[in-house]
Amino acid sequence: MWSLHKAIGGAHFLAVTLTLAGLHPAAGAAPSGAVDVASSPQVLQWTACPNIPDTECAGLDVPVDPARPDGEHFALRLGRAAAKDPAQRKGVLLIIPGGPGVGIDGMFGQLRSQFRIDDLRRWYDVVSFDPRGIGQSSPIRCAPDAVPPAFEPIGHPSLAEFRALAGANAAFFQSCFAATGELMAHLSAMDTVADIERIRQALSPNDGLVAYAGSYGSAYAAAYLERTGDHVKALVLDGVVDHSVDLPTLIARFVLSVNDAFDRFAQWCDQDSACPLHGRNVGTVFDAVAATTPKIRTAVAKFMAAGRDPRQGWPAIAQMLAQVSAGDTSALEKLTHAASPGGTAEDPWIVAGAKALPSGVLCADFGPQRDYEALTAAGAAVALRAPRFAWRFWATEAGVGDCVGWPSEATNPPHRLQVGSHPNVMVANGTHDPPTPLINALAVWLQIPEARLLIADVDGHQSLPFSRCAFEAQLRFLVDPTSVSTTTLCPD
Amino acid sequence: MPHRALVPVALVLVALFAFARGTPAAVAQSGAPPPLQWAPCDDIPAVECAGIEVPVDHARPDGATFTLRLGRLPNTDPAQKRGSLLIIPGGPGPGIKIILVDYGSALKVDELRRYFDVVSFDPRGIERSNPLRCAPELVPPVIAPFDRPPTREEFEAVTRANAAFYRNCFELTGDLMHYLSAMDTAGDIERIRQALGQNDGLVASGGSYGSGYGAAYLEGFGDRVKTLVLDGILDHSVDLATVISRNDLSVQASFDRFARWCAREPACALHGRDVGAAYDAAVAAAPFVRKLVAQFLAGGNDPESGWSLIARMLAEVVAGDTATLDELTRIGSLASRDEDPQVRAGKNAIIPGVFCSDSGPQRDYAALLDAGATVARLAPRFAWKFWVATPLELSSAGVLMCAGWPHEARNPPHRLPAGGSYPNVMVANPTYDPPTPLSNAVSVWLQIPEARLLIADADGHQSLVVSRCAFDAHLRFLLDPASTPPVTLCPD
Repeated sequence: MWSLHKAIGGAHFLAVTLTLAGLHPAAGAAPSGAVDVASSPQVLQWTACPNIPDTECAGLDVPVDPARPDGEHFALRLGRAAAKDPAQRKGVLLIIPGGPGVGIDGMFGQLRSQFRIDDLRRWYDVVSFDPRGIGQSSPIRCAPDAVPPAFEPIGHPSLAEFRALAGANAAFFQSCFAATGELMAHLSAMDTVADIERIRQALSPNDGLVAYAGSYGSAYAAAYLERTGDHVKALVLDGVVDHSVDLPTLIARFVLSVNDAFDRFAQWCDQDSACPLHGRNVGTVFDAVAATTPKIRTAVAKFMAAGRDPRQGWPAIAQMLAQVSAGDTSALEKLTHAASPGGTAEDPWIVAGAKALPSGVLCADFGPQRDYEALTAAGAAVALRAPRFAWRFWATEAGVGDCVGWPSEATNPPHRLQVGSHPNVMVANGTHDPPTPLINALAVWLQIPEARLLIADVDGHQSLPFSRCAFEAQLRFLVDPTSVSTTTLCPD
Repeated sequence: MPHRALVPVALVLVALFAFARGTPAAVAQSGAPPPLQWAPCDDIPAVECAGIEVPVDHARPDGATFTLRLGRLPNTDPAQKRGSLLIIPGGPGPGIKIILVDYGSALKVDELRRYFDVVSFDPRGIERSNPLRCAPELVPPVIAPFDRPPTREEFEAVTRANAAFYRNCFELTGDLMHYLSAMDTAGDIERIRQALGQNDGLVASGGSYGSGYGAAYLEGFGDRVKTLVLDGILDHSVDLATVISRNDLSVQASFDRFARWCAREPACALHGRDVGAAYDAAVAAAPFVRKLVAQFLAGGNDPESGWSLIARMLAEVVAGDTATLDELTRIGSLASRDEDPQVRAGKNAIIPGVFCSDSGPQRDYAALLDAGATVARLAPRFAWKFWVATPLELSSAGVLMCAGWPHEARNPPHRLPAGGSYPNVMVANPTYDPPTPLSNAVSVWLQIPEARLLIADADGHQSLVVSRCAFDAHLRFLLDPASTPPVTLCPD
């Protein structure tokens, strides 16, 4: 277990893939590097990416509104880590990023080793992209002075607080629509699906899609399956989002799962003397620290996604709690900073836009959250079972708060998948995945007839980074979907 | 024949038939039930029996009653005793003798007895609990076509023959025949709980169709459950044609796994040969080989009872030797040995009696033809199972057994009602369970909030039978549900 995790992740492990867990990766890199827009989407001009070592970038022209291919276009930025050995090359593997908010800066930068990109390169040209509105794919722009403060209520928000949030969010979103234009209304998973299909046509026109989709990427991939299922050759969904339920249900599952993860973390501390809080009551320490330093709650909820990873997971969380408990907040500051959105972009409008992007995608897919009464009931049910993290239900940055004040209806509302038989799809998940609990994966698996199922008994978000067994099975599956049995269980 | 070869018999009995559950009418709370009078069973060596009076119709507790027979293997270690454990029989068909004796070693009853009085019962309509009675001369003949769907004329002929038979059973059996659904048995289970003095809640384990009774109990009496394990699960949220289709597809998948095992395992009697071709040749020589193969696949790859036995039978039949075939035919027979010819004939009605009460009559020939065609495409060697009309003779449930059923479903398919929280319920299944595929268990697990999930990576029916790890986890859970994590994966 531990040796496995040594292989994982650099210092920025946490800037992971899930806005669902509230982790906005560094968005919007230097805007100076204008994307070279190819005149024809079929001919890609790969050149070294300015800011990402060992990676090539190219631009692909796509319509803002897939339903109007002759309308306004923009350049979608692709990234590629080309296959190392042409003799062993199996083709193109598309990594569909999660978040929403992750792009190639993340996939080929901070997350590169965690997602084993350079292992995958032994067989594939590994390609990823900045999804629309992200990074250098026409990044969303919003008024910097309209960015609302993070909404992280201590308890259950009052109606007045709820309305204040709706007002602040609405004003912020309005500024994004005004500054970004039409793209702001085309951020749903269904819109990204059209981009993925254009990528496939450009990269492997005569072959089906071979892709790995983690976290929110699994929602894009599931939508692709619905829209263009017969173009799939092999597809892995990992750390799965279930779009058959409404946003309060999805968020409630996430919060309960974070709570479970915290309990497992506390249990580990009890049992393992390597835990800096060993011998102390972890829950009590957390509660005391949270009372004086509320942002510890946010950090702990986020970092649970890193599982047992020594640098960002349980040991680091325990260390941080111990330090803050002793009055030292330096580790907390450092980690909070590493995980904050906005990243390195210089344009303050793009920095602000990165804060709106997750809402833009989530609310297009799940719709605005207006019903205070219904949310109150759902929030109370969460509070009953996960009192320590119940506030997370209401919060922004992966809570229902993200879509409070969203000005339009869902363009791709929740629904069960309508897809045919797909033995060439694998649904994968860890048993203890805080942002995307196993329940999501099993629900989605049941919606895809004949799909393969992989469950890895690990802590952390997405099975591939945390389980060597899962990675190997997924790779075998991508190379030959028929080589993997209906169900794969990975003991670690 | 070695003792272990007995396992598949009961296995299959408990196996091939789906279950159901319902919304039981509230069972009137009787006062303190009279103490049970345990005495040696007159027909089952080494087991104690007792009878309780239960209403034929739980909605009319003051109406007609009958005697439900309980069986018990007393606790063997008083120092560790935790009370009673009720094993809810599957089938439908098995009762005390099969569960506690014939199937006792597979269910590891001796290990359970160290902690519990292990109790089971003859479910209503079975053995000594008011067995169904029918006229022997009206038992419908085996006419299921094996190589094609039935014609409309054949469908109608089966419907007429079944209707005449079932009407006669209603007449000879009396009122009880109207009350055979899972919700009726759930009412009996509540009476058993009261009689056993499980005052702090039901402690029970239900496998195969017994999981359906267990789920129906949960639906009707969820607040009286202390600890409940459901294993080898069928899903009453879907209609009969879907239940049967999933079963057939799963048997086909198991056959394919069996064939792959033969290809790599020198100990397989068909090693080095084309298993599919051997099967086809054996079936051509002895048509009932197909029934035994489907039935004994439920034994998984147990060295003495599952795949190796099937391979031996096929190899022998192809070579003109019927020794193993005859032995498996004898072991696999589900027929009653009761001396009363009407009770013997009644055994043919119990499977349809329960199934059709739970799933309703099958009247729509065109819809069945469609569903059957899908099965034939995906599971060509087992498409015949879909159409089975005579489950007792063919050891397999099929849709035609409910053609001609004279009443509407008493407990029609439905999802378990949402709400509640059941960390004291465990849903367990092997990854490759021929009669009850994992998808059933996952579907049911998603219907029971907070339920524990156990998946054992094993072939065969019911995880506690085919996986030591699963049995150990079951036992731990029964002794202390709070000790069990939300998800348990057993590597074998």
